[in-house]
Amino acid sequence: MREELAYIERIDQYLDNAMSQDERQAFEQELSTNTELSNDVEFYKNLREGISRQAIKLDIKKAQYRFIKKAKTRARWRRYLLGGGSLLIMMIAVFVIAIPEDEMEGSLIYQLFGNHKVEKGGNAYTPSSEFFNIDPGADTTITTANGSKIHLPKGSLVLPGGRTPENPIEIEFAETVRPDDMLLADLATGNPGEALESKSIHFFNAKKDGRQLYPSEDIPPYIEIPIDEAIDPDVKLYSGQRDKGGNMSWNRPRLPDNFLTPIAFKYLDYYPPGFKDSVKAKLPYKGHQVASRAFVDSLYFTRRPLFPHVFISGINGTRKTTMINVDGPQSAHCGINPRSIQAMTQAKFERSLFATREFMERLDTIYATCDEEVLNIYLNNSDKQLWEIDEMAYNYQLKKENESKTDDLEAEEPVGTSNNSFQVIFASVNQDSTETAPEGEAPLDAYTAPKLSNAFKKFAAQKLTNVPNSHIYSTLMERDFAKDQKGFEREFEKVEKAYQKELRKQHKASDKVLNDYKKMVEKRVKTRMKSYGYKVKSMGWKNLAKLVETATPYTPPALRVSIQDFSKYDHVHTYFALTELKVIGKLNRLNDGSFQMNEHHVINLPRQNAEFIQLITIGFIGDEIYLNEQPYPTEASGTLEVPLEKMSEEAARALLNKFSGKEKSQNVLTDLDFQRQFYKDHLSRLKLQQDDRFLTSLNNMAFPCCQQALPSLNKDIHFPEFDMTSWTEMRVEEGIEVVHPDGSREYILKSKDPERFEFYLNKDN
Amino acid sequence: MDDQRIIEEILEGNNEGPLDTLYTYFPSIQHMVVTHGGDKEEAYDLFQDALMIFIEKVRTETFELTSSIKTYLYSICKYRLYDKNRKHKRLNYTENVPDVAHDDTSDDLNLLAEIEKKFEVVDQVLANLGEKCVEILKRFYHYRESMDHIATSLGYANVNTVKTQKYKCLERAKKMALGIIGVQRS
Repeated sequence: MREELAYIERIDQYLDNAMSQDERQAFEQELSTNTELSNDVEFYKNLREGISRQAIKLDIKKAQYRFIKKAKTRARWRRYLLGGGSLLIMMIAVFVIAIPEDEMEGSLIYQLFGNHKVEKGGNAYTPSSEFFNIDPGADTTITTANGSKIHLPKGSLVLPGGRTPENPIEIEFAETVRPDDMLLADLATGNPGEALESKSIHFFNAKKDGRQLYPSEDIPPYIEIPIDEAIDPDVKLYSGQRDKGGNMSWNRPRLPDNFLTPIAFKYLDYYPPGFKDSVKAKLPYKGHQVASRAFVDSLYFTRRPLFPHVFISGINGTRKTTMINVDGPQSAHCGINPRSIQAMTQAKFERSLFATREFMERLDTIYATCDEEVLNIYLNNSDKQLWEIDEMAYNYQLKKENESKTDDLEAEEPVGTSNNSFQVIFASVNQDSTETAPEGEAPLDAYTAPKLSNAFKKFAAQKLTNVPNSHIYSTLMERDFAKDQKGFEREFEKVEKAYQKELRKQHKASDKVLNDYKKMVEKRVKTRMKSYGYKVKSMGWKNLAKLVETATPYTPPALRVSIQDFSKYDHVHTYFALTELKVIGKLNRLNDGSFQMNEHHVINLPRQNAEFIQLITIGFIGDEIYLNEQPYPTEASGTLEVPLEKMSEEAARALLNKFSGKEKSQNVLTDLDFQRQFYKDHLSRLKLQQDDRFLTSLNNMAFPCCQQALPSLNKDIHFPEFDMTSWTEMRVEEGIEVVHPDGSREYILKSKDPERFEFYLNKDN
Repeated sequence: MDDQRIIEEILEGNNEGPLDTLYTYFPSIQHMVVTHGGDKEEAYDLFQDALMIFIEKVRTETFELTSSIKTYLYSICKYRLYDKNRKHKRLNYTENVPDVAHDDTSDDLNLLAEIEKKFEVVDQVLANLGEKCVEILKRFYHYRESMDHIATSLGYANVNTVKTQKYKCLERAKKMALGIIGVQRS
């Protein structure tokens, strides 16, 4: 084996020119005598070259792939980059249509000229034609070698008399874009006395078995010539005619039609003004790093008017609140239904009027009207020219504004919540830093608000047309839209129900923890009461004797336990433990963050046991534990500064076990487990509240005419303090906050109005 | 990237940059093909062949450019299209083929055919040798990667395993070639 390897290596060295001169000479000597070696060298040489050839071929294929990919991207940009920017590439059409223009107008004339034939003519330099066979009974788009597009809707080419010919028909197209070609072909550049700067000269014709076809009056063919330069408003379309000598003259200039260009929905911002920016500003959110179309869609399409705030279960004091929302008929005027937009932006409408920049401009105004009817005007008339639809919207909006003006004059006060103005939309940009809701920003006075009808009037004046083949999409819209929209609505209801259910489940779980803790502390305090003769009222009872004969009740001076660097910790808890008796209690938290024994704690402490009271303080930063334990200075008053030291979980557990009783309710560790759970709940509640604020702000953009106050953030932690004198008097009051259709809120307590409480609670479910 | 640089890079074995530059000439060549009786797909094939001829020429080291690379590629494509059209009699070529005098590029037209013939056997061998073998040989002979590097990137235990594997591949290739030549002779 080794020998064979060496043999190959030697050949490699020879072929690589890596031999010394002597070696080389010897090798060549051997080559001349050893046929096998010389054959092998020849073969390996070829094999090596063959391998290289293969690698080069692959390189070329890869380069071609890159080229095609780049060309596609460029073509896409060409299509999408309309309006603005330096890379302005517009479709400018200069048509050479060799059909005399009068022949194009009116089928009567077609019949008169029935025998007339359009021919390309020209000389040897005239651009050669491309021929396409197509079915005139189907919508067809032909892309020519130069990238020009010929849109031929069904029935766009007719026989003399207006009848659609049978399948197939022949399309002829020839084009020249280079000035020198134009010259050589005798096509350029103008008539005597005038010069034309041509962007494209081309020939278009259609025949059926040699018979001349004509453009239909109703649905004419549409030709798009791509030109890599800025649009020039002075470019006109000339028709060419040859005289008997074959000379071309360019006549009857007219403006090109310039259809609107549809753009893929993913490049358009069809959300209410500010919506997408707000989502972007909130990123990263729920695991999303970018405001992708799917993500922003999912946020917008799941909005509903009078968005119900999430139920934020309260250990907030003693109140537990569920907030629910009562949907009313008024909510229809809050804004455009997101599910309508969802239906409108489906892939099947991607080439329709609704997928154009021009329509997006109108959509912003439609959002501001808060009136689904205006959107419907556009959706239901998409076969018309855009300016015609603009006019319809203008008339509708104007009528509405005039009516509401009369209403206002009759009413004592100007309109309240249902104002229509742009400003409302812009006022509702989400700001997390503001704690209070923009309630103070009163709805704008109807008299000063800019009239939306004016906006539609301006749109109409732009005299914009429609996309090619708009009739196809309007038929599709008529057939599918209502059905699709209802489908999305049902889907949304399902998703939302599931979401609410999940939320309720979470809250139930955190309620359970709270109740379990409450029960445990009750037990702890009761044990303490039983053992030490706790007096609810201090007068007249003498059952202390039952516990320790010599004991006399003792009240230590008031002492505040203050934690060093208190704000450093996520949360801090302070306990006292009677070491010999293995019972514990929890110091009460004061508003300034310090802790203190409560009356009910201290009155039970037998004097001689006072020295055996241990003070235990535990702080948490994340999962890290900081601890301090020291004898409770029973005679001291004022403030006791307690420093905390980091301790491992095991060490802390061992230490705390030493002071704790076997009974769960007397175990500091059990209590701490609850506290940690409460803190976790607090964080998730805070997260929910932040989400709630964000979603409410999005809602205010989606439904500009039903502005909701942003719910306030409650950053304070409220640990339940059950271990205090008044615990017996304390109870958690269940209530429900109802948002009525008019936006007003009502608080219903279960204890005071059980029937209505149940009614709304069930309604929510 | 200018023409001189393109040639230097190809000689260095770096094809990616030069090819990207050369592909910018493609649209005008495609236009020529389409306006002279070919179709778009054909234009791609012709251009690929022209690039292959060009790179082969550059690699023979005797190559001297007498025109710009663009003109060279354009001529090659044009003549090959002319040949094709004539062979397939699909067009009356007097009308459709540009009247351009023969230049030195015409000599290179046969190069591809010659090369194809020369490498007929080797190409067949490579097509049947198996991916692993071709990968090792390509890395070793064309990209000049070290045995060490090949062992690491293809997941072989050590350099010796690759060397043995390479030897086995070459042996197998030789046997296959002898087989093919044998079949051809009989």
